[in-house]
Amino acid sequence: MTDHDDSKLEQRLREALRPLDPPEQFAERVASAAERARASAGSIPRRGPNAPWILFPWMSRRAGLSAAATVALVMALAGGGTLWHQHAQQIRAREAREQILQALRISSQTLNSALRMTAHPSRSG
Amino acid sequence: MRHLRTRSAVRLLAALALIAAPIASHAQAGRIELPSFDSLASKATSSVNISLDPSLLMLATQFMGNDPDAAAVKDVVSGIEGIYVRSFQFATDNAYPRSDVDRVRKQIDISGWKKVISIHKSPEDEDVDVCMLRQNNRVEGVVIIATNPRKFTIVNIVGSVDLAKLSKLQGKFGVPDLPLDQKANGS
Repeated sequence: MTDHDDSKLEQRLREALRPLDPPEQFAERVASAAERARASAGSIPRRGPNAPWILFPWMSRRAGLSAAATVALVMALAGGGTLWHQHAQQIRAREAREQILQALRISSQTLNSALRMTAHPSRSG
Repeated sequence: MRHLRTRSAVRLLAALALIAAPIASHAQAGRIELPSFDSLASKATSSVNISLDPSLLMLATQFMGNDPDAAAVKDVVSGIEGIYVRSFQFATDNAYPRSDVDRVRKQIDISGWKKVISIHKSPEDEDVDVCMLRQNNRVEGVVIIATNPRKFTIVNIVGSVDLAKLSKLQGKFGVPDLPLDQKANGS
């Protein structure tokens, strides 16, 4: 390669690599893009590395824990309520059973007294 | 449009009331009005005040068990819609106003009720009435009223009851099975 060729190449390289001024409002566009990225990063929920948010990927960790606690509380209250209702029902049934037996006892005794009086009117007094 | 809806609702309610009224009156056919006799409870040496409606009867029979005694009770209770008992015992003679019991007795003097047993013993001043209400060859109610100077017992069984089966219940569930010729105690 001759010196002339070298100088030509050098010139073309210089032309290709010459510094260019940025387009108009380039800085403003970069700044606003950065601002948008920062804002959207704030709204994206942070997820823990082990959080099982497969079913509810839209839910934040804190909201998920609150929901789980609420569901557990509601289930515990419902279960407790059912047990209490069953217990109260059993007590009522036991009381009713005693009352029914007493009522039948008195009815039977009174009826039999009447039957005895009709069977042996002279001896029943 | 709204006016029409209101009219329809009123008609529906009226129809339901017309359907429900005979059912309700039928259910109450064998029932008499029993006072609670609360004022006598403090004077009495022992008192029993039992009111068992159909729902309580059903609940009780569900917890009755499966032994023969329980089966006998279930058999008697199967046709019953209610049991109402008032029984008061006193330490002295004439401690309660007979007029209170007579007021109940008057309710079964009206049409429909038939006295199956009616006994009055003068020297002991003892009265026993067993009355039955029958409608369409079906027992709708039984009333047993037994009084003596120290005790009165009123039993109102609503619904169909077999008196023979009821009588046989004595001796079960700790009820003493008194021999037939034993002196009646007025209870």
